[in-house]
Amino acid sequence: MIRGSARLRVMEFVLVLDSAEAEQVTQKEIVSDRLTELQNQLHAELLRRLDLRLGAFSTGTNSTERTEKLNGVLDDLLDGEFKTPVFESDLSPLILSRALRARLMDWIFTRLAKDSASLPVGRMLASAPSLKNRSAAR
Amino acid sequence: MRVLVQNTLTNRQWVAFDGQAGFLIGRDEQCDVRLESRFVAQVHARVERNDGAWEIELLTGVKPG
Repeated sequence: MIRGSARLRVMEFVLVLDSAEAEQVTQKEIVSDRLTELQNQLHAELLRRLDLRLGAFSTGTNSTERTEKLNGVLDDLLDGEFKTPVFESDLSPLILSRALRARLMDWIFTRLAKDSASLPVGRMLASAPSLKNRSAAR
Repeated sequence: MRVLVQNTLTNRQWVAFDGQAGFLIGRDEQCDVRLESRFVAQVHARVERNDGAWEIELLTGVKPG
């Protein structure tokens, strides 16, 4: 028996179970659901367009070219039928904040990876200003 | 009760069930929460809610993961 909300994993699927009584659906959740639906539509449309372009990704194509082609398809979609829901709707601020957060996390991980490649772990921790300040405060 | 499913391979998410009673999970069309994977049984598990607690029952022939 599990109380409260629960997460259940079945193979590659993760099921999040929410009880009805705990489910006071907030405005935030509704917006989040709409965003999920929009992501699904964009994902489906992207796959559909890639299917129509069979051969666009030949084995000889290097990864940079593939990325550029994929970005090209995405740009087409975002400049066309998805322009309004993505850039000009009430979902736009949420999309922007998530995109910025993802960029920030990318930047942090890239930066950390570079730092950890060039410094031994001990020196890296010791050189982190926030950690230095904390140890000085103690 | 409401069930949100995420496919961790494709990152696709959807609301698979939104109702009062318990529900069945599996590949079969009769299941309320359908999971399209050959590793999921036709009728994989039954979920009920009793006295504020979830009861999850793996059905016959399904091994716990």
